[in-house]
Amino acid sequence: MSSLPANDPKPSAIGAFLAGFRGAWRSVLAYVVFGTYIGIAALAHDFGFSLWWVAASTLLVWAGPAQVILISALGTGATPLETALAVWLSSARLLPMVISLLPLIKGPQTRQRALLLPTHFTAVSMWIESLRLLPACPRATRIPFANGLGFGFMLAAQVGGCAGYYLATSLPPILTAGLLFLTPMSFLISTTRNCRLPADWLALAFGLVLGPLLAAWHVGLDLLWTGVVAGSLAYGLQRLRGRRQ
Amino acid sequence: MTGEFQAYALLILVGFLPNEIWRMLGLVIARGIDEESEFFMWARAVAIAVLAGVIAKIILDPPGALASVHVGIRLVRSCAVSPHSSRCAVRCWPASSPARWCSRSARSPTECDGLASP
Repeated sequence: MSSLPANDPKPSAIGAFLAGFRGAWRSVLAYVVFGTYIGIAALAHDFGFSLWWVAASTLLVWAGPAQVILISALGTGATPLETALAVWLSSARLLPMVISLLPLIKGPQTRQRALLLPTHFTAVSMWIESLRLLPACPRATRIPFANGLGFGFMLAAQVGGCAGYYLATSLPPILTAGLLFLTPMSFLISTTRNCRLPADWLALAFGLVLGPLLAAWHVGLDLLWTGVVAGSLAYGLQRLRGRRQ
Repeated sequence: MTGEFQAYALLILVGFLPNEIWRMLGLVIARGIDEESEFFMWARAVAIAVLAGVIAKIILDPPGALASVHVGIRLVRSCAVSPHSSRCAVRCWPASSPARWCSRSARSPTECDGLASP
């Protein structure tokens, strides 16, 4: 760690991991994730999946919408190919998230292997809070910090999943639905809070409009196209503005 | 479900793999990119736009149990900006039973209909 500035107190990986873990639980998104997974596990319970299966799906898939699709599709007897395709289409958002997160956490000497865990932990909650909290962290501790964040959020999901699984029979459907509704609202509010550059705001606005439009027109890979078109437009407009000033 | 083993095999084949492939692709693409590059700025805008699209889609065309909540409620709750829509919600909310807000029964097999074509 000799490349660090001298005024930096000796950063330890464990300390950074714990700081990330605390950061996750201080974030409102941990409680949103908790609530979302109550809803997801209740859904899985109703379709006859075991609690271990739900926990394994959270550990391996770690993407709310994909898990809802997986559970509902398998539970209603959709073919494996249909299910895989639906899951694949729903997870396209993870690609630009990983691409815009990894350059923040890696250094010149970082090995690809060290990035595997933060890559797997990348989900909307972790991505939003990483973008907010990482710039204040020393670069050498960003990987354990991101892992701590991801672990904290995943723990919230697992606890929520257990609670939802056992409460499934006593939860009214309207409440489960309400819990699943927390997700888009909190994501919207948190993303708004993270928007700093003009391109961020423009991308948010264009995406909100274009997403449902492309979905309604049944464009294949609609989310990826929403991202590429709305994001490029926002990025291009910011560059144009920058050149004029 | 016919067996636990099959359920776990399906979890990996049709849940984990199609989902994780995006993350691994991101890991490969991000390899040569640093924080100052224009590509990084562009990817950030794309990620925000995708997330905005996801949010708008969940509100307007939600998966799973959320589909049972009337679209009017979802819109009013999410962007109660129009005085007309919020007044309307206040007027009819107490008058109707929870069941009337459900377009179809929650967690029924039919709720998968909209999911196969996201």
